[in-house]
Amino acid sequence: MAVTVTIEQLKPGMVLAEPIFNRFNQVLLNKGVAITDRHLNVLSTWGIPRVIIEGGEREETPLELDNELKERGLTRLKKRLLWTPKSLLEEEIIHLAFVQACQHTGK
Amino acid sequence: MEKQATDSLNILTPWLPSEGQVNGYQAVIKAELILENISEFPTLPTIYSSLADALADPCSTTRDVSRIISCDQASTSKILKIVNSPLYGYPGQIDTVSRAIVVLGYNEISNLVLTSQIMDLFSKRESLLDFRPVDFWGHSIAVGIATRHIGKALGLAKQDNFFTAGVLHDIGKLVFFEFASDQFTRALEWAKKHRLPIQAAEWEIFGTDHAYTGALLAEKWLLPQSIVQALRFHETGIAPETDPKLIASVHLGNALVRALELGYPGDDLILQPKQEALDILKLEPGILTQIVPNLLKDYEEITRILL
Repeated sequence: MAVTVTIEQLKPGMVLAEPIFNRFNQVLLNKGVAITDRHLNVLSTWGIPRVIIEGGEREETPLELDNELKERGLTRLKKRLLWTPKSLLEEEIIHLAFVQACQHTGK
Repeated sequence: MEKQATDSLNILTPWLPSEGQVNGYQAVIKAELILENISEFPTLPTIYSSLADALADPCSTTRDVSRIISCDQASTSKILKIVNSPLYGYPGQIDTVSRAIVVLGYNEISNLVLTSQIMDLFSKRESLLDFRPVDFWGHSIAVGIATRHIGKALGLAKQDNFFTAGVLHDIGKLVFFEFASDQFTRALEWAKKHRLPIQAAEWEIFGTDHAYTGALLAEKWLLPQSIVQALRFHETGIAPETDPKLIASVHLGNALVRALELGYPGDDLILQPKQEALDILKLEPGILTQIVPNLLKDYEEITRILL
């Protein structure tokens, strides 16, 4: 199922569910393309605000986190995190932990 | 092999006692002592050994095997529910054990029987401090699911053993929990006090850890070697032999599930995955983010079936 994400939420490795057009209706990136860092640069150069990606099976509106929730999530996360990330994948794990921590504290 | 195992532990697990104070051989002896002191040693139900015999016999048919499994109605119904869940990707299509065998193969079906049987074997329900069996299994099931998703992301043709190795990876902790509860209570307290993983506390209190103990138990139960090795090396993420991708996947699955706070493995720390294990997997950034929504959904469904 496809989901719409903003350019800020778009991460390398995500796969496009629809082609991306520039303002002259030329295809910048075709559907099925896995996003790389270089693509992110191209998209921000063209000022593309949001794109449609393959998003697993469930349709989700990205969680909007208010600042207070983020603050509490961060406190919860920091207690359990005693190392600093050395790679993109480790950063990804920490980000996922952060989102989950915000949801836990929000309950 | 023992020497190699010790070396890798000392290099990769910084909270372990320094070299000379601990070695793999002693850890195995300590684990052996713990298992020997169990007065009522948990034995696998005969259905698993009859199943193993049937699978080893080249003359046995799908019908023979499915007849053995179907004797255990509780397991049969759980297995059919699991293979029909999105985790295995055949939603609602598999209605009999023999069909399940045809689709998933003997090995994976026998793995699922094993998983269901072992979960029934450890029956203690009350908790020690904040360690509750139901949360322990929640963590374990989530790691099983994560491991299988990582296996899928690796593009392997088959992800046999991935779910089972993940679910059983911490089984050594249950041995401590059920049969050495006083010491395990001290280990839980120690880990909390020092803000260290439960594994470090196990070394402190038992002189061995759940990885050694679980692998030894699995060996005594004559489980497949790939599972034994995954239990033994899931904390270091790499193994001197056997299936490196399986072991690295369990390792990363464990780190991911701890990050997501699914279930409770004895402490609440997020573990840094070992670079050596990540090098084996070579996953593109973004893959875990893609896995997580499905992981959370499968977690709800599979825990409902198994717990």
